[in-house]
Amino acid sequence: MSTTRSEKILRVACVCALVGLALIVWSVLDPRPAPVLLGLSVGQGLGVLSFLGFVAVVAADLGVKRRIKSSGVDSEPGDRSPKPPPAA
Amino acid sequence: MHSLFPIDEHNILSVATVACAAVATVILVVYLVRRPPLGSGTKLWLLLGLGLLPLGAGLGANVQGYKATQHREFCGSCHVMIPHASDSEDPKSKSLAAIHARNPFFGKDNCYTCHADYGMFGTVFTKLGGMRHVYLYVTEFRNMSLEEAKKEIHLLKPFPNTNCMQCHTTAAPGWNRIPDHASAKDDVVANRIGCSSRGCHGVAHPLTKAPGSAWPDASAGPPPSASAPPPPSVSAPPVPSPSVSASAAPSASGKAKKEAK
Repeated sequence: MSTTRSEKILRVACVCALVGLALIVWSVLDPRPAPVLLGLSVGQGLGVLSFLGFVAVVAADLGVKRRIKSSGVDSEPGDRSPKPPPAA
Repeated sequence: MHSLFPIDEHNILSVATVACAAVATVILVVYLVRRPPLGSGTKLWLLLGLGLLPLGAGLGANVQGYKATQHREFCGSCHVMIPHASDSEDPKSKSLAAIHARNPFFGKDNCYTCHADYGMFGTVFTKLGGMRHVYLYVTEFRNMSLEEAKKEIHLLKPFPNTNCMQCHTTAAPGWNRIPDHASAKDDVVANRIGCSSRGCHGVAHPLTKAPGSAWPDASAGPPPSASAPPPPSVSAPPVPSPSVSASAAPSASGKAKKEAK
């Protein structure tokens, strides 16, 4: 996942979370049927979606780092792992 | 009474919920405005702003919302329930609902206390039923006049005596000393006779009973048996209401829940 895409996902997640938080706070301050239903369904759904977006970005970032790290270890001078024979 | 800003020193959970949401909002807005690079520090702040703080706000709102849906004022938010809520709040009313509402154990949650199903999953089924009420209200009853609603809206099923017996146990000696109770005990336990049927304790919401039922209008009022336990000298056996034991007709058991025809 590219950095640009990660940032885009995070920005969308932030906006979703802000809308969800607004609905949740509305349900607490004005406990009528419509706010409560919206806050506890749409609001929390948006919150879950935004958190999943954050988790996806972090997981992808960790995967990239792991790949970079593993490739860096392979090229270290002290590496004793068997290496493939040079191509003819 | 719920106001637009019900937060006070007695409502710590509301304050905590709003505080979590406010801090999360600040974090998210700062991220959106400044757009910092996605380093470890930024991720930690976003973990707070997108994960932990919204989780706290959501949990607090869940509890608050759950409590709010138990209040009589919430039930009376739909116009078709206004007569029921108003009757419960009337200190002079002698209906079963109003009498129970004056009991501190029921208080402002008297609708939920009586109508919530009993048992391990009673709360879950009650909430599911509440969602069904909302759906029916939005799709069918929203534009219905109050007079029409009094005739159309009725119980989904006969009101279970189990809900009454949560407090009025049929095992108490005082309950069994009343001849009508003793003679009808098996039928009451089996839900073949409703506690709130005609001839027993009367319907709980007489104001909204359709014409032709026990009390067609508010001026009629409930019989004395609705305001006090039946005296031991009552000789007439309880009259089972066919609608209570057989179907969910508008006059079924005097407890009004919304249900499509």
